[in-house]
This record gives sequence, structure tokens and C-alpha cells, in this order.
Amino acid sequence: MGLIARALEVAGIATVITTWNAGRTRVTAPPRATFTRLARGATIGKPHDQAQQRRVLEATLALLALAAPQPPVNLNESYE
Amino acid sequence: MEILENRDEWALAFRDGWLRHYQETGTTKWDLYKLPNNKTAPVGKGIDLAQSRLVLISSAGGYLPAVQQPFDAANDLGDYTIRRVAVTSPPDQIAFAHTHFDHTDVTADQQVLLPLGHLRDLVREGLVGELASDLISFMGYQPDATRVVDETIPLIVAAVQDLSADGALLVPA
Repeated sequence: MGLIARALEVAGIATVITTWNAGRTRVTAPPRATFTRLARGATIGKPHDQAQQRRVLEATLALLALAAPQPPVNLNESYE
Repeated sequence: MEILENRDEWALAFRDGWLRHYQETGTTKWDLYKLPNNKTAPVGKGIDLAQSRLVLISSAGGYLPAVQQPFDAANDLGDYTIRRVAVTSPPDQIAFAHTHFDHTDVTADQQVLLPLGHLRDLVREGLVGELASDLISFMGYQPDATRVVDETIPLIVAAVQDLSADGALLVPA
């Protein structure tokens, strides 16, 4: 995903990624990203936890207002 | 800007390591796999999301089985194609062709990977200007980063431009 975000940003499209897999994403140097401690297959939040899903989305989308590159933002969101 | 920095070095390591092992044995050996190692993130302008069109990009392998072919999820070398899925598609019409994550959560609640309901709420609340008419889907098991750059990325950039999106939310599985 990070490579795709880079290409879109170069093409003039503002991008942001949210992921539970910081290690795989950080090495791609994406323009904007949030990192969580969620789980593979549940990137936006736990099933039916609409409040958590909204928090992840809003925090992630908020980065689109900022010029890139931005340092990745760690969100205190987990699957526990 | 290079999308995959030091591409030739990465490609050589992939060919001589992970790919050669796969071709010789038919099995994948991930300690031979070299991750990208980009150092410089691209520069870009921020956007006023309330005045913008947002496109969702997902690597969960979502597709519409009634009208589209599934991704080649069983292919150890990956699938580098994309599908466009109308954001108005009912959740029960979207299937997932991706064998590298457990589908339990997305089966229980599709918003864990395709948060279309939340995004529609954000549009109604005025936080997002509008949603692009299609989400862009691919199957994120793509071991060859050079094929991502040469095949998948041009398809996605063209689709995003065709949708006239100003911003993109990328959600890996």
C-alpha cells in the first residue's frame, strides 16, 4: 500500500494509510499514515465496534489536511 | 521521485533470493524476502476534506462475484490486477478473494476493512465532501514490488484519476 500511496501523491492525489502493520508500511515511506495495534483482517477496528472504527477513520482522515510528508501517527487502538 | 527506491537492487535480491527458491522448490521462504527500504517520502499538498472527493482503496481482495472474476488468490506469485466496486454495492454482494488473512471479522462486519457506512456518515455530517462512485480493490498478496510499480500502480492511478478523486484512503487488510 505504501508504494501505491507514494505514486498517487506524486500524481497530485493526497493519500493516507491506516494499518496495524507499522513495520511493513514504514519501510515504504508513505506520505501520511496512522499505525494501530489492531489486527490483520480488522484494520479499521474490531467487528461491530463502531465507536472505535470511527475514531480510527477520523484520526486517519484528519492527516489529509496536512501537507506531506508527515511522520506516522501512532493511535492507541488495539484489538483487545 | 522513485516509487521503489533502489529498484534494481531490490529486484536482484528478489530474483536471486525469494523467487529463485520458489522456482526451484515450489515453496515460499519468507526469510529470503527483502522488504523495500525507501528513505524519502513524497511531498504533497494537504486538502480540505469537506470540499474534496475521497476514494477508498482496499487490498482485501473484494470483488463482485455476480459480475467480476475473483482475484487469483491461490497464486503464490500474486495477482496484480484491480477491480472497481460501486460504493453503493450491498455488502452481501461483495466477496473477498484473498487467502492471506482470516475472513472471520470481515464476514461479521464488513466495515472492519471496507468502512463505506462510516464514510457515508462522514459525508452526511459534512466532514467529507463526497465519496468517489467506486472503491478500488486489489488482492494485497503481491510479492514482486516491481510488478506492483509496473502493473498495479498504473491501473490504480488511472482509476483514481478517472474517478476525479482529490484524496485517497488506503486500507490494507
